[in-house]
Amino acid sequence: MSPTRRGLLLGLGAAALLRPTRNARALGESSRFRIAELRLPGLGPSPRPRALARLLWEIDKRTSIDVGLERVELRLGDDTLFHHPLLYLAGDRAFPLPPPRELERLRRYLALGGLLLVDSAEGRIGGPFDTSARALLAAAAPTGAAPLAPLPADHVIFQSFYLVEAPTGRLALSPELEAIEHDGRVVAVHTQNDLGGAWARDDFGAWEHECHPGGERQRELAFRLGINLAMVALCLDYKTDQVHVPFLLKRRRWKVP
Amino acid sequence: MELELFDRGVRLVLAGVAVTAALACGIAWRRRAVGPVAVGVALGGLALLALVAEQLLARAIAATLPTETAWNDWRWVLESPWSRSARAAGIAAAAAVLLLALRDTARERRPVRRATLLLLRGGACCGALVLFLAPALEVRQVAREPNRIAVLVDDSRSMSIAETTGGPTRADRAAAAIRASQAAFAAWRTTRRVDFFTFSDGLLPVSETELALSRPARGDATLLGEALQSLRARYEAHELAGIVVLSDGIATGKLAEDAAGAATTELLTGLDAQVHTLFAAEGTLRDLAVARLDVDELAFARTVQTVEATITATGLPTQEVPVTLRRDGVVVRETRVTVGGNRESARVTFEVVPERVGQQVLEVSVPLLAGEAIATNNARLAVVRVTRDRLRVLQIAGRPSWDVRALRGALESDPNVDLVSFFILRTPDDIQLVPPEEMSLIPFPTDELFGQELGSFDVVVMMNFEPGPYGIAPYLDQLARFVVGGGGLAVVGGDLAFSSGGYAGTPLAALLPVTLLPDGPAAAITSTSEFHPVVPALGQRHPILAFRLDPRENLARLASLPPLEGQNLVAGPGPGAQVLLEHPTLRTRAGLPMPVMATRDHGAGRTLAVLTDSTWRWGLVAAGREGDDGRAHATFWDRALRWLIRDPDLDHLRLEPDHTAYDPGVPITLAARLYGADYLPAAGATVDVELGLATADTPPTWRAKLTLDADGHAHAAPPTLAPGAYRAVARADLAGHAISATALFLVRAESAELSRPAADDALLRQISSATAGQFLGAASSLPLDLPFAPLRVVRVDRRLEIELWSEPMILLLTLGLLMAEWTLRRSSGLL
Repeated sequence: MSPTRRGLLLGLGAAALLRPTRNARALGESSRFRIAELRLPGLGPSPRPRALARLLWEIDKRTSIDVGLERVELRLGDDTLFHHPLLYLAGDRAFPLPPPRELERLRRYLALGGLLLVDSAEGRIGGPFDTSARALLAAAAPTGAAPLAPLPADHVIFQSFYLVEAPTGRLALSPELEAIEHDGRVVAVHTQNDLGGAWARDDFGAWEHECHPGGERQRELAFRLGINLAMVALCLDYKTDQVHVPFLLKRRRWKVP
Repeated sequence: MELELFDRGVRLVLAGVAVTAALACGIAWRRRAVGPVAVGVALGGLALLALVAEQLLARAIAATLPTETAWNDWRWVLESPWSRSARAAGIAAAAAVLLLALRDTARERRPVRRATLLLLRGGACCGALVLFLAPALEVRQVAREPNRIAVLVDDSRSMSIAETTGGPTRADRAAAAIRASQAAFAAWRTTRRVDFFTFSDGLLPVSETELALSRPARGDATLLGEALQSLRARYEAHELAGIVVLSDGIATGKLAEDAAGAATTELLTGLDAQVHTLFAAEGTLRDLAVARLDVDELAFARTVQTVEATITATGLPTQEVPVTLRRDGVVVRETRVTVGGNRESARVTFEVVPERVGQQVLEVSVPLLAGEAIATNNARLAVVRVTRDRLRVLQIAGRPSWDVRALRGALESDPNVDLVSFFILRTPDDIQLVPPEEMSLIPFPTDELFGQELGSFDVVVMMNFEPGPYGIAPYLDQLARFVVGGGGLAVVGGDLAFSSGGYAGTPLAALLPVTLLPDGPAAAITSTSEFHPVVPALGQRHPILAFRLDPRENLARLASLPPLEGQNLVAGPGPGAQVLLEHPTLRTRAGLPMPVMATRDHGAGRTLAVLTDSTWRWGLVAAGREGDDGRAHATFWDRALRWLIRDPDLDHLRLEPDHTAYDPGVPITLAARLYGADYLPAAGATVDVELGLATADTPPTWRAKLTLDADGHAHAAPPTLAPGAYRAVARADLAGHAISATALFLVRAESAELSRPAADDALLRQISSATAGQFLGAASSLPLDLPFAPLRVVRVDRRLEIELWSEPMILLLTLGLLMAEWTLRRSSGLL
């Protein structure tokens, strides 16, 4: 992009434009944004079965993304695995590595465009699930991918929609969000702060878990991080485009006293 | 036979030694320096004695020669049996004895006596050396074979230049020198043969009579170095007596490329012959020229292109002249440079930004001044092909989706694509609980994208985008102009696109290859079912869907792709549209299959409509299938974008010359290729080709009608063309539509021959110096006494050896000198 055009695009204000109301109606169900929950042998039932529904509801209300609210649960051998570019894996216990054929399928999924979010619901750092998840990610990482590593504070995940300062969930155990990147794209994200715990809401509209230590503000930040992850899944590194960088830097400077 | 035992040079050296010694003696005598006086007298005496002895000896030998034989050659021979090193040792010993004498006589304060002592010792040493080396004079009667002198006259185009208006050209001067040198040629021919040649871009034998006539010089190069090498190869080693070159000193080829380099020195010394040079020019020429034009044949659109030119001034006073850069005949830059006087040349650099992709003619020119010797070197042309460095794509999406993400990923990973994306991430319908400063959103830059910067993109991809809410409706006319002007537009479906996006009735609708339905209930304008599209015959061969080269394999590949889901309904294909994919069950109101993908040409641009937002399934979803690499989605979009920008590889009609630039007289071949509307080779079809100057609005000068072969190819061979830039245009009929293709090429001017017209004698001086020849300057004729290699002896009829060493007088003289020296030394008290 030429500097001239970039310059032109950077001096713009901060308000989003209005558009008239039009009821979203996707051309097909597969076009809707969904997050499929991945289940693995030995992992047991999902510890956060209602987390994704609430996150998707928030995404639907807060963004322009056309969302499918139905819960989707998948296994690595399912035919429709590749129909869902974003997978969510939550757990609270150790689990064995999948069979080689399924492991290879997961590796291919990640290499060719899929994204896996791994969320530990154990409530502690370095628990059995965390250990198993790290082994899974190491085994399924695409050839040539960087190993799991903390993301820098200026990574696109922290600014794809909201400007997120810290990757908190139900808990704030780890100040870092770890990820595997391949060909400049995030293919797997790993958190130990129990994001799903912050998102989960029961059928009566009550939050299933308290957020500690930040309370409801922390829950809001967990939703923001979840929405940012959805944006990265759908827009990749859109917000790191050069046209956006000076704008974002400017916005951050406003927050510096 | 007249004997001259010493040649002229040796005699001069000996005379010089004698004179110098006498002068040194005089100075030393005045300063009362006894030693130098004695040494000077001795040296001078020895030199004079050598000169006298040579004369006496030559006359004595000549008198003793038998008169019945016509002796015509002689040479010195050494008859001593000693080896070369032994002879050297003998000479060294004689020199040592002389030095000892110099030291031993240092005590003698009387200069005459000391000089006498040294003379006696020197004479004795010479006598002893004669006895030791045993020299003899071999006098012979020999037969010689005449060798050849080659006279080369420059025939290049620069020789047609006259330094003064109405004055003689350089070729005239050379011809006059040939005519005035008849006496020299006659003298040379008494013992040698004289061959005449012209040289320019080749070496041609001619007669003296032809050279004596003033003829127009025609050669487009001055390959002097190559001519000398070619000449050397014509003769055997000893056959070439020498070379005479008449030229203006402007060389091209090897000598011009590296005049001062080792290769030139090696070339000249490798001739093994003296080269005498005559400068057939004067230094009074007036000329202003564009001597060089340096520009890359390949440039990138919207990227700075550097054009450099060298302006030379010869014989002009210092002045400022305008230099103009034209692109396709239109002035794009002008600057001024100061040349003339001591500043023979100046470098001019232009920086321009080509906006348009394709071939262009660049011309750098300077004005024609009064009294200029050459008018044709005041401008230089170049043909430049402007291409895209990277394809600039603007991707606009009404909302993030898997389809949006898949295309962004594909384009981002393509190093040939410069992608700018704008996605609508939030609308006012969405809850806004968060302060703006905690978000990373920016407003949609409507005016910047559609009002100011649209022209900087090659392709605009609108994905499920509704223009109305973003104030784009006023800019849709500009979008139409963008397409008509050559831009590409792809519109991808979704619930915010086509009729659902309110396109109907807008200028955008007129661009599309489909006719839209009016806006209405979603069920009436969209379908959500999953389907395998039908690929009509055109789609199977269209480059956008060419996943495989073989049509059958390609069809199988298309059939193997995952099904699509969802469809924007339309009234039918638009005028001039080509439907590439159809819905298997849905029908238009006219009963035709519902288009799923269609294209059309619109002005100079092209548009593509993809009436679904599920082609992303050809990527990740396909990759989940056994044996599928998931590349179909990226391949589809790569080919779609190339088709939208009219990538020449995907054009129906192509016309290409076999070269971008031709030297004068080189045959030109134009290759035409035509694919029909069905993308099959248009075998048997005809293509009209016409040719004319590219820089002038003149009618075509040549036309041809070509009939294509079975592969859809044909070739044309235009006649020989004068220097200039030419535009060849091919025209053909494609399904009732006239299509054309254009190609530019250049026929170079008289190569570099007239780019630097000022004559220069420096090269001629260098050639003569390196080959021990003579530089004759701007002489009006060739001198009779030019030195050449001696004639080659091919037979010795008689020979007579006169042994100097065996004369008893030599021995007696040597002994007598030694005794006299001994006696004098004794009387001087030196013993």
